[in-house]
Amino acid sequence: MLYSEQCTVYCTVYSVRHSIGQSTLIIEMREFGSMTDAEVAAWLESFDTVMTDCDGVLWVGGVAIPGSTEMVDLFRKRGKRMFYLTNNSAKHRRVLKEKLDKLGFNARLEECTNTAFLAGQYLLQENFNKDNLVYVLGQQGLVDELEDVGIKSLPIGPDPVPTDGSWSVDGVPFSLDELDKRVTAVICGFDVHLSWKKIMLAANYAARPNTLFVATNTDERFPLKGDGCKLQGPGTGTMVKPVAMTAGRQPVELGKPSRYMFDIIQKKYPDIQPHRTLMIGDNAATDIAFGKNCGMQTLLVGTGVTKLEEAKQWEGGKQEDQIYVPDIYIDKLGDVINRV
Amino acid sequence: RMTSEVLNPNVSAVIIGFDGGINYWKLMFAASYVHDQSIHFIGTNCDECFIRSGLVLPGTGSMVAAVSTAAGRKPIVLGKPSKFMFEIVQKRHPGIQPERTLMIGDRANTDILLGKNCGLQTLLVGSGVHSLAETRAWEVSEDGEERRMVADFYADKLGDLLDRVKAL
Repeated sequence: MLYSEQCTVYCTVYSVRHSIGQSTLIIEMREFGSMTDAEVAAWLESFDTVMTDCDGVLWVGGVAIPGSTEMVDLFRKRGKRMFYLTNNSAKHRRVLKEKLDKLGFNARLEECTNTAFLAGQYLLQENFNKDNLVYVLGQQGLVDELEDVGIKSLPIGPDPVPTDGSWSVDGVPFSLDELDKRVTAVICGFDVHLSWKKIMLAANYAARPNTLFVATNTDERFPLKGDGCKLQGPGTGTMVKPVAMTAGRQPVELGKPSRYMFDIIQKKYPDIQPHRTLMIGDNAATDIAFGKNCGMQTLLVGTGVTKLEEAKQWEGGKQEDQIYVPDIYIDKLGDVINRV
Repeated sequence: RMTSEVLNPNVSAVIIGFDGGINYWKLMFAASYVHDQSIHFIGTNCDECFIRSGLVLPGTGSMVAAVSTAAGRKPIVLGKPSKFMFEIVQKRHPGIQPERTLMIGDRANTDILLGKNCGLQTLLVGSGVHSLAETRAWEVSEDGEERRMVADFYADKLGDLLDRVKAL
């Protein structure tokens, strides 16, 4: 009796909070440590599906975060369906599955979604003519996922500006006619071989009429691993911006926080209900905003990009920052286990 | 594998100018240095792109934007439309009066805005980036910033003034 009353209270508070119109939406973030056992139990019963970001939630670099594998096992034992999401586009989904398996998460390929996979889905949805080609500013995973759905691209890899002086601000020995007429889509993903010439080519293709312009994601940066490491790794957003600015055009963005990833998964699993789905992430700007954009419940973990202090600042702050405030914050995913 | 030891502790300023050799590693280093707020972060200019033989080429602005995005920090930009260029010239030539100075340019968001920012008279020529049609659209725009890009005068090309002036 007490349990169901608590459950009702939790659900009522939840639904009232989410039925307030956007202009007066007030988000309260609960810290997991402050939740009672009854609230934790009710929370666990309030979702059937779990979508989780990987880096910063399940692992950091190549090492599983303590408690994450046990937590995923617990979700499965409780009958939750698992999905593993990443904004990464450099590798094929099967590489994500291999890493999940290696670190003890036991995933199926269908449970894995990355933005390289989304690129193929998006082009199919736009009825991309398979006789045409894609200009890819990206890496092998993106090319492979496109290939999986029968879409071909121009070669990728290093393409630097020649240093013989033939390329300068006065002009380049390259003409519009040299652009491949078969290219009718440009996809910008993460590309460690980014160069001025590739930005120029991507922009000129994207500036042509009847050409799709897609960005796998626009993550700005990721901290590089290692004690006290101050190196900032430029994210895909840093590559998309120069192309968009030069082309004078904004791309369609596939990755979180856009809801496209959720829509693609829900298309395949139509019984997924957003309000009974938990989105777990470490990056408020991508993961939590994604969860909110799709009407899901959200859990922010402190083992990655966004720290508790930042989330607290947004909580009392501007209306436009409310989309970054999670329902619940927890230091690390594995902390749930002790409470269950 | 890289650690922070690759960052040189003697670097106290990062300047981004036009660089056809831009690559991922340069972005990473520039962003990592300027992530330290005590280091100066300067962009020479923010022209997004420029046109050569019908091709649109990435300008300094797009490279500055890449570093700025990676670092989560905006640079001080020295070039037009920042007033800095006018101020430097005026310091060397103190007799310059803004209201008796004509700024001529082809790019409204750098040249014409520089003129407006410094209280200069402005002339847009149509032989480069922006056009009369675009200017007419900005004239009726709801966006105040766009309306500021409308020059006092427009000529298809600078040389068109010559015939009118010769006769005077």
